[in-house]
Amino acid sequence: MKITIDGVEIPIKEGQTILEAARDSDIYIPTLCAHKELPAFGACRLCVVKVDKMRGFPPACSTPATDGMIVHSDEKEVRKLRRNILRLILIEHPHSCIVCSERADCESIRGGPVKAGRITGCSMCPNRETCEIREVSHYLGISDMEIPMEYKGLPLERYDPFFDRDYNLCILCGRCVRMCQQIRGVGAIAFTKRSHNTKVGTIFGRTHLEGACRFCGACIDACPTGALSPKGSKWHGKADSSVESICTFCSMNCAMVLEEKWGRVMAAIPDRNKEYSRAYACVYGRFCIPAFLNDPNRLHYPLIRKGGRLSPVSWEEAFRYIGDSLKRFAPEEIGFLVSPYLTNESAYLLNKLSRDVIGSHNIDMISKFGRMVIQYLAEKGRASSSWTTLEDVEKADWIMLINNDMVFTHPGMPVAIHKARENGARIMIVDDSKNELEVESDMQVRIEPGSLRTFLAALTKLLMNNIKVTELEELDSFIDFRRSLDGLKLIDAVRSTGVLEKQFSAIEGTMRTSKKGVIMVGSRIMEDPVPTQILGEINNVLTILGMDRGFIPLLEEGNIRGIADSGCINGFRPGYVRDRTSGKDYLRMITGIRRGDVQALFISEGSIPPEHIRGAKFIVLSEIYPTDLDSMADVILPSAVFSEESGHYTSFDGRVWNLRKAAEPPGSALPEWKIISGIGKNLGGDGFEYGSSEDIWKEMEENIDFFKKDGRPPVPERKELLSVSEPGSIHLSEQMPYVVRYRGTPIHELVEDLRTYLEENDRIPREEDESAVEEAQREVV
Amino acid sequence: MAPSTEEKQFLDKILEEASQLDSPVMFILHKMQNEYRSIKEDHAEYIARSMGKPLSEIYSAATFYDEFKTSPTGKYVVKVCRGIVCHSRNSIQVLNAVRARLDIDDGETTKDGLFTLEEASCIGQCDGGPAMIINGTVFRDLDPDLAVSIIDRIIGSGGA
Repeated sequence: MKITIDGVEIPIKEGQTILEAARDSDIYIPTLCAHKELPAFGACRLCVVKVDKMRGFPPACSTPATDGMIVHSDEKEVRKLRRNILRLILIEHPHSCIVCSERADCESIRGGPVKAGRITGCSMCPNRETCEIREVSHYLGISDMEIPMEYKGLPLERYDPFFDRDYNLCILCGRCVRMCQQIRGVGAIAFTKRSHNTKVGTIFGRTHLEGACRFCGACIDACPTGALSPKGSKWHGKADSSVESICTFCSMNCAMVLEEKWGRVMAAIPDRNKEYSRAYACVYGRFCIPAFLNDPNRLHYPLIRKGGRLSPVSWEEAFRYIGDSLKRFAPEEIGFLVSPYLTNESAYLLNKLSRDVIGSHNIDMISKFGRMVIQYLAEKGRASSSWTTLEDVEKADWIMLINNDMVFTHPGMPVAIHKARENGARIMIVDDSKNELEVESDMQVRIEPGSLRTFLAALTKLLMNNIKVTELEELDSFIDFRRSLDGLKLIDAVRSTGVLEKQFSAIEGTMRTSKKGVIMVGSRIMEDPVPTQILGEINNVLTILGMDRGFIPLLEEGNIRGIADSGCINGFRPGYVRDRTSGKDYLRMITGIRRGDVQALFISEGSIPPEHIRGAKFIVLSEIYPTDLDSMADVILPSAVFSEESGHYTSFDGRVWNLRKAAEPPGSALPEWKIISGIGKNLGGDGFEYGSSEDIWKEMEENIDFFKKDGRPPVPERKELLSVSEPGSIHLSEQMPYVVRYRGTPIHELVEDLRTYLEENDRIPREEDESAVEEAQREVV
Repeated sequence: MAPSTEEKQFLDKILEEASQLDSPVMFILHKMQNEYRSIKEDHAEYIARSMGKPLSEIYSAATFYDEFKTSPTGKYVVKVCRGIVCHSRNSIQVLNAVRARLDIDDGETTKDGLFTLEEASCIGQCDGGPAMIINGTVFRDLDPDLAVSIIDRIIGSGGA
């Protein structure tokens, strides 16, 4: 099928609009309200075209392209109409930068840094660098305005965290409103009032902080004007350089463009050219990266404790000192506690340093939930396979969300869930406390705290009643499993969970409708004394349903998946090859320190509670900011952050991402892989001669099957059933909500606006309550 | 804040009535406005949740039409016509007289919660302007004194 635009024949796809077809063939039609991630809206009318055999001037954005259509876009009559439409829009939009006689000359300096709150003149607009109105007016050749401007005189809205709003610049294209509602599923803003008084505003005049806003910043990125601007990154003007990298604050690893100016990362903008993750960036990645990375307290120089005081030294001296000191200990007396924010390359080298050079097999991840889950999956032989992905979520027929706070731990995930729901998925929430996603659910059951196991057991029993599982009966574990189910009475489960029988059958019935389902579970299951029992019972459910995919643990730390893949997990070498020599895992190392079996530690982030490592004789700490552990460390090594090194990260679903260097580290801080190589060489180890992190990655790809292209084995069948728990309530140990962090430092400690947002939502104690804050900072592993 | 049990009963009832309609939101907003004299935040939230619609959609509609109020209005809503015909017959003087009598500006509500004053675009009484409309009752051929005396009569009757 074809259409003709201005004499050029272009192909069209079924269901495309004229605008979409034109864009696919790189034909420019001016628009201000159309956005490629949003359905057509038809508000700005700038895309009007002439179509043979059609009356009037239909808008290209909402007119379906039909075979043989002849469209006129770039012709006099159409251009004149568009010019007048744009002039009408410009009446209410400050446009001195567009009709200025100096316009051509100012192009070169337009992107300079600026400080001005209210936008009245051309050089104060936060969009002065990339402005869609300028682009469109340039294309249409607007150089004068016959009608005087009418400034709306609305007050600036600067009272909310993260972004300022100046609706005097707004042209009411509705991109922000639609983005917030249709893509993010939040609906924090709406068109309010009518006609001349129409304004984008919040519901019932609440502030964004009080309202539903999750501060993802999608509205800012969609806005064609400078009406919305991020507080933290609007003053620096045009960036000197930019790189495509990722956000590392959670395990979703959204693709981000990092903008560098004056040698620092000044802004992080979601990479909208990447199909995956373009729409998922959230408050942490969109707003917190520059402030978090550029804090003046970053560590600059290696420090060695001499006579009780930490003094700066050269790297050579630090490496020599570490090498000489470590030689005093037997290999099994040395332990490695690895930060889940290191790159895959660094993790691979740490595994090499620990297991091959030093001969210590005491290596594990600093994490609670992620470590538990990955260790469990690795023991079952399932960690090495590809996991359920974000696409599986978007295309799921049903999604069950168990005990999680993803709105705060993985704010991008609700976007995928919204998309799934738009595609017809049934969303079921099973939670023992309030879940922020209730508005996005079709079914929600509030279970009694401690009754999750009973809930899963009862669900399993119902599924077993309705599904034939002949092939499962062969399993060794089946008899015990069957017997444990026989002892379970639904009425007891109803009593202890508080879930009604009809709710159970509704959930069970929904799950049976399709194998394209996903069960997501969050870290609140760690309140159970044996959380692996819950994983086992979830596995029961999936096994009975005959699903070989469909489990998503909401792993928290940025590269927890990647460092486990790369060998920093107890009992497994890179690629989940069984380590033939056994070593201590995290908890055994902690008890080992107390007993004196473990005496020296290499720790790569300071989030461990000090009492866990008290008693160790020699502690090397590599970190980015000072932490509570500093007073106990013998050597402190300043590490580079993710924007200062290259390498690879692996997201929760097993996608491998490139980290790219955007700026230099402060002082003499080094990327972690260089630090580990330095120590390795000083200990006389081979295989630490790398020119770049790329060399390490090549070595990994060549030597480890797991990292070879298409090297991942397929998902093994879940041939196992776990006896279910007896009905009743488990005593839970209360834990503080997880707060998003990087290399051990909670993001909100360095980003004031994030603190405000999290306080408002009761994710962290209010600042005034000092003792409670201290309590929250103590990470009890 | 959540709606009381009685309020919930009422909201459930109108939700039920509206369930068969093609555009239930307008119907529901009318019923809410009539019953409670404004679209209350907790009511709108309850309705949005029950209908599975975003609250922003309800709120947009509620603010789009002047008929609906998102802040509480007085017992009597006085709308003085400011259409072009009434204007040419000095409706501004009528409006100013009412303003002065009630000591409020248009869009505001008296402290005792009795009156809300509004300007209205044409209310269709062009043959009898200046006109105003109080809770659905039309008053025509007004002059400032007459308008004030009508207000006085309402106040005199104790607002009953």
